[in-house]
Amino acid sequence: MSHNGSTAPGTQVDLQGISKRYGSFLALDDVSITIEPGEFVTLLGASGSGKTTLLRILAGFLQPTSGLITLDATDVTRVPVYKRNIGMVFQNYALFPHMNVEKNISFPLEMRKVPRARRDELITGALRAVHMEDFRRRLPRELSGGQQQRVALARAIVTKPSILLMDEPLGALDRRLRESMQIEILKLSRELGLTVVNVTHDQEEAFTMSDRIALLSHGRLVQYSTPAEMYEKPNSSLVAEFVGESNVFRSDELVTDRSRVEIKGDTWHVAAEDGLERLSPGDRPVVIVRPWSISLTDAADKTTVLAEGGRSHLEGTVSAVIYAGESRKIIVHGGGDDRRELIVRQPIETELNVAVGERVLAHWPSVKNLLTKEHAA
Amino acid sequence: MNFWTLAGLPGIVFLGAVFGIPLVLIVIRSFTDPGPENYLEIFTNERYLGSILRTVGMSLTVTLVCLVLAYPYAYLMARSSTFVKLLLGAMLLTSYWTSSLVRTFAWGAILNNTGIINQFLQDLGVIDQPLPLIRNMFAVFVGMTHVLLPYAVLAIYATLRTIDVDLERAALGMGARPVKAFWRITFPLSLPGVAAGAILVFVIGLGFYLTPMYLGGPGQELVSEMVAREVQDFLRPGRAAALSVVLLVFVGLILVIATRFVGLGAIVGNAAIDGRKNAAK
Amino acid sequence: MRPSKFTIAFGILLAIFLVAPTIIVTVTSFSAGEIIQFPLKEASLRWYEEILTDRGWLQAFGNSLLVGLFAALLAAVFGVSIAFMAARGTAVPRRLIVNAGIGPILIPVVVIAIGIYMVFSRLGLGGDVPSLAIAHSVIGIPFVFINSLAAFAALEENVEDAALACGASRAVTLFRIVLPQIAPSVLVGSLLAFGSSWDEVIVAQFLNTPGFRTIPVVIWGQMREGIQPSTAAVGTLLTLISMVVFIVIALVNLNRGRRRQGVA
Ligand SMILES: Nc1ncnc2c1ncn2[C@@H]1O[C@H](COP(=O)(O)OP(=O)(O)O)[C@@H](O)[C@H]1O
Ligand SMILES: [Mg+2]
Repeated sequence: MSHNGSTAPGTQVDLQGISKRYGSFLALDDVSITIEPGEFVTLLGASGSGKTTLLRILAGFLQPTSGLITLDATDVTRVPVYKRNIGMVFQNYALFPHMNVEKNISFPLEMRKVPRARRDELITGALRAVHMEDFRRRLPRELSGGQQQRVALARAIVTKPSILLMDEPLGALDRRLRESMQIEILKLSRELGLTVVNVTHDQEEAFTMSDRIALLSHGRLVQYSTPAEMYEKPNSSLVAEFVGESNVFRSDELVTDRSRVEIKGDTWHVAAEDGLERLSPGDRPVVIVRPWSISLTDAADKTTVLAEGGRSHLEGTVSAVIYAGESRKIIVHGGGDDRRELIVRQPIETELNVAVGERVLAHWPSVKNLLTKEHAA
Repeated sequence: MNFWTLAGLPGIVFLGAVFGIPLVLIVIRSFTDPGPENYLEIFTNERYLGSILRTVGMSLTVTLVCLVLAYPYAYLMARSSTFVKLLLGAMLLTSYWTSSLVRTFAWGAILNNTGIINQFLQDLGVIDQPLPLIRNMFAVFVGMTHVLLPYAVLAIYATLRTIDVDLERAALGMGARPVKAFWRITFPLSLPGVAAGAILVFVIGLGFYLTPMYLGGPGQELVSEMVAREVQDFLRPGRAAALSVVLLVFVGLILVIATRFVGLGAIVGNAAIDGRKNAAK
Repeated sequence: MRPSKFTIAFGILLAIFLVAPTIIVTVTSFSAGEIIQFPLKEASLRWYEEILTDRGWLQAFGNSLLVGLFAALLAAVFGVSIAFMAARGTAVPRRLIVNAGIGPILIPVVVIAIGIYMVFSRLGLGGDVPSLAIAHSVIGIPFVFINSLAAFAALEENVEDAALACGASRAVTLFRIVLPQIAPSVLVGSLLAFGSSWDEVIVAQFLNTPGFRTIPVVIWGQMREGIQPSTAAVGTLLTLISMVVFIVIALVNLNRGRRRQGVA
């Protein structure tokens, strides 16, 4: 999946069986990822999941305990960072505080022995790419956070590296700036045809920017796929719960046959057909439904609604209605011994047809259910 | 071995050669020149024992007096109007940056039999004979206190300035009387600075040389002076070495105990180097 | 709590006690007579004239200056080096290195003096600028060490990673990225090291020869013979230079503080 146009394509990156051990603690456990030239890949995961460790191993700051790193089929596992021709952007910008913008960007050119005569042109080009031409003589401390991050980006790309690595590059910026920078970075990397590995714990950012997402948890690669696939075909409950809000149904009362899974609790009943092929014998099935898929009606209409068949449902009492920006979050309490709760989301424009304390039926087409397996810790 | 360790090697080697080897040599010599009886002599001869006790006693006295004087001074520097702050700060630093040699010389000129105080009093006709202000422990005490006071002030001030005035204001707001607010809030918080200042003054005091030698009386030598005289006047470097070891062990013990409570960096006036937890700010 | 009037009065008295010796020495250095008088009966510059035309004094002055500068330079190089190891090294526990780096200012100077004297006299060293400078650099190293270690602690480690990612080797990173950032602190430490050499008597006294003396050694010699106004004049000059060093330090610190405030 290469998006590069006329420019030279980025590098192919291959991480094979990377493990990293700190004493008895296994920070990375046998992670393998292949990144195609020009691809934008995000390492996603909760704090402490091993994202930075993996990125620093890829950069060459750290040696893996075991595993192999190849760039365009060349083994670089033992090559130190300064010989790897990478560009890197850090969360706190990491500009050289004693050098002005121009000198900061010139530094990698000097280190890579680019002739003096060519440097200025490259610096100007990089500054233009990040819209910072007018700030050449400023010191880093005289720039805002967003401007500093642009300069850091320019410094990372000025040598036309084979691969751009970013560790939470937008983490220190406010939300609005973050969103506009996401788009800019993406555009720039496409234009340059760079292979990009980005680290974030923000799943929205990962979904906005990435061709593929590598989801890490406790040092293990849980799923490596496109954003859409990760959302629609999570390969375990952990993935489903990490990417987007979910209602997760698990129960011992389950019926499985060759074509469908049915599970139920005291006040609810869900069925799923899609995704059965992703389960292996012995896996514990889990059914997930997104809050946006659910409709609410008066509990009295139950028989009418369920008459047509093919629907999953939960019966309960509305326990809260919460307004959250452009949507409304409704919590339905199923009661029963399993104390089941359900989150429902509605766009703010729609009319609210239920009230707190009311008995309601929450229902949705069973085809909206995602079937996956329980994540094994 | 990582790069930074390698980068530190030249410094460690140099320090080892010019600081470490001499210390080791002193220890060896104290046992071999002519032999371990150096220590026997030190712990049985009244001259040495007296000098050690005198040194510890003097240093302790000076430390206590310095703390009592330094605390209000540091408090003024931290809490007064800008004018008073600047005035006191300037005067403190003027004193601090005047060489201790010159200050010792000045105290000689002040306390001498024909010195400023005695001349003044004689001119007034208050006394006929000059007062014995010099060549005694009193003069040593005055000179040492004067030289060491700025260290104590600076250590206490370094802590006091970091204590938020608002804490005291909050206590006042809750109905505490000003004096009570001070003793319950500010004073306890400033104790690390007091401790750092106390240790610094005490340890430097133990090694004092010029001031006691110049202002002190005969037969009242402090240990440092004895060490120098053993080498220069009596040509007994082994005995000097043994006295040095005693001094070193004593200073070392104090620092080992002290650093359980205050960081070495705080003692020498730069708490930022005590561990990495402060590195972020 | 605002200090009471009583506390302020106490502070001012104490401040007077603190500066009195400096003032007395300065004033008496302008005396016209042969003996120390305070306040002055008659002022003159005769003692300064005597000093500044005396070859012995000028030579001692030159010696002190050279020893101080050379000692400060050595202290800068080796103090920074030890700070590297303490801050980032992994081979030796940080505590040990910190103890070694600070040690020389907490140990009685006389012990350092006789130790170095024993070693140097065996090697036939002493009586010249280089030997005394080397000896003094030991006392100066802690000042550089403490200041640069503190500056190190304030450094952003990612900045060095960024340099490596830019293709700089560790050595280039050290010289072009790390050192320039901690340079002001190293300068402050070196100035303090110069100051500590500038008025050091004890080590200098052990390493002097009749042909090689520093100003403090000469002053100390004079003091033990009796109190003279010319000593006061030299002492005043000595203090003056110390003050200049101090003012430079204050300026560097001020500039450093201002720069830090500029950080968003
Ligand atoms: N130098 C180290 N020594 C010991 N443990 C470490 C070290 N570096 C990272 N770890 C541990 O490895 C895990 C992964 O860290 P990291 O890669 O920084 O996570 P992330 O970037 O996903 O937040 C964490 O539990 C962290 O505590
Ligand atoms: Mg991280």
